[in-house]
Amino acid sequence: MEAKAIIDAVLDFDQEKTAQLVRALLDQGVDALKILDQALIAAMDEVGRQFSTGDFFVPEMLMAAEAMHAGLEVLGPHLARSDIKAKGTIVIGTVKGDNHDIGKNLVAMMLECAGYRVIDLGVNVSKGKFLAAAKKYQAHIVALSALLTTTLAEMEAVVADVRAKGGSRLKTLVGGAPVTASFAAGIGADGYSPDAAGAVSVVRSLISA
Amino acid sequence: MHMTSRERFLKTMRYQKTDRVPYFEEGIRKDVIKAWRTQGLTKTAELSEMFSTDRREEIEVDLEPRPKLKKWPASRNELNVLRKSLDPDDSRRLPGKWSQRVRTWRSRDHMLMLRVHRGFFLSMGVYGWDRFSEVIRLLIKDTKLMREALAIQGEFAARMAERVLAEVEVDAAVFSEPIGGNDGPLLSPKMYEEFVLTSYQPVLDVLNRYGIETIILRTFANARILIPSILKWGFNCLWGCEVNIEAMDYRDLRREFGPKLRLIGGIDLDALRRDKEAIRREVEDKVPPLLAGGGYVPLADGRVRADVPFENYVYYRKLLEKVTRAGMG
Ligand code: B12
Repeated sequence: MEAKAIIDAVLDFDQEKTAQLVRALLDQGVDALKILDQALIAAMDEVGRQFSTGDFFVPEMLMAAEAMHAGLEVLGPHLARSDIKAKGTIVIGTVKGDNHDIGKNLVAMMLECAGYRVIDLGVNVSKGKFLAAAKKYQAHIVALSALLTTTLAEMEAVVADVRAKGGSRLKTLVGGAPVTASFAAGIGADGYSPDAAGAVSVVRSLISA
Repeated sequence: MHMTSRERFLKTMRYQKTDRVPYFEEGIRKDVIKAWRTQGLTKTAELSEMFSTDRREEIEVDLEPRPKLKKWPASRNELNVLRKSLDPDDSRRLPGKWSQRVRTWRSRDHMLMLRVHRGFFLSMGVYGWDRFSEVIRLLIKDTKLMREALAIQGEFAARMAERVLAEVEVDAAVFSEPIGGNDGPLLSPKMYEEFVLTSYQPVLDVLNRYGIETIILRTFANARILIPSILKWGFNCLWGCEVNIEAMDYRDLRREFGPKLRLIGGIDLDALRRDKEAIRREVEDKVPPLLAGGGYVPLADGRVRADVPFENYVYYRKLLEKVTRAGMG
């Protein structure tokens, strides 16, 4: 399989070409899951890498994600639902009292591009909703965003709730401008990342753990 | 040597001798005062009388499209709508009681600054995710449209600045840049220069023409890697609010950029939320070296909110006075 052309198309932010190349591979009979893993997700890994080295910023990341999505759309009908589910399910939202969602959406988008099923609950999400959604979708991770110092307490409460009632498999991931690694550790969250690209590697290690 | 607040600010920014550094107020709102009234701030006490305070004032002209745009231009032929909605001659754009204010400003003793631009994202109408992703897309997919829209805003902001400066002598100009990340800006320095700073050029030209000495970038995010770019464009002062203070430690910035970059802020607000020991360490470690270099106005790096106990605030203000007065010799 020629994965490199697809990776290049994604890195060129070329939606049409990405879609077209994916279609061509499918026509050749290449397995959809293989295209997802070795071309599309591999491309987003490269995006994440370039983000962490400071070669890519948010515009580049977002545009690459859109190109990747164009490929994913072509791939979608050919992928078994179980393929996506198997990688892991993440329930994400901004905690109650907080309406900021730009950062949270970037994180959700990157996780989706890494092949996870992402259930986005939106903003101002109450404690109970996180846990209910996690149970309903059999999530692996509850991811929380907070941008206000005043909603950090709510984040702490949700993390405590998930720990108490979510079962041992369900993990928590937290982030947002006022959240630091030490705050995250202090409230007992399982993972933290300062940015969207980093969130992908944290999720990988949490799910494989 | 007694100085007015205004002289103190101007001389500080010129690296000249002052009686002491300016003590700016931290944007304390009524709800905080109300909370503090139950924590030992007596009914009649005024913070500005309890502590030496240098008043600062900001002229905020209305830089929003008027009337509000129903839809932002999606192609270049739609740009006229934006152009028309940004009429610098619209008198409603100036703050109320304008001529009266202009008169009183002439004999003022305090520092007065003009906010000249609201930054890339807000000036492009970003208040939520949909427009955010649209604007991001334009930066890559329709650079011409983006450049022209920014140029319209830049020209308009320049005309507005000119309107004010023709009547009022201000002590500084502020470009604000609220949207960003704690780990870094959203746009690369290259993109920030090509699109944003380029569009600021007409404003900077006006500021130069009127001899505005202090040109501030007020950022609400970690703008560390943008500093070389803003210096290149003629900015000479950074004011970081609610930023990740470890990433923008002013002592490091001073070491790296020297006196070209004047600094406002830099004191971690979290220390004020914590305890006296944290406050003592924060102020005693950071303020003296910055003070010694000059061109520095110490200030908490954000608005003091109700989660700061009154006792901590009192301790902080007293300590700041002590440390800064000792520093002046
Ligand atoms: C845009 C903005 C708004 C917009 C929000 C639009 C939207 N749909 O999101 C509007 C105008 C609505 C708004 C409103 C308010 N805001 Co506001 N807002 C901002 C601003 C300028 C930018 C935030 C942003 O989008 N940054 C860009 C994104 C990409 O960065 P980010 O969110 O940090 O996300 C990154 C990381 O943190 C991380 N991340 C984020 N979430 C998650 C989650 C996980 C799981 C992980 C792993 C990582 C992660 O990854 C992201 C990508 O790298 C910030 C200042 C700032 N620079 O942070 C203030 C700011 C957050 N707002 C502030 C305030 C006070 C308010 C208001 C209370 C103002 C008011 N008085 O009305 C209201 C609150 C409304 C509410 N209840 O939520 C303060 C908070 C102060 C504090 N320390 O508590 C700030 C810091 C500004 C300030 N200095 O005053 N705001």
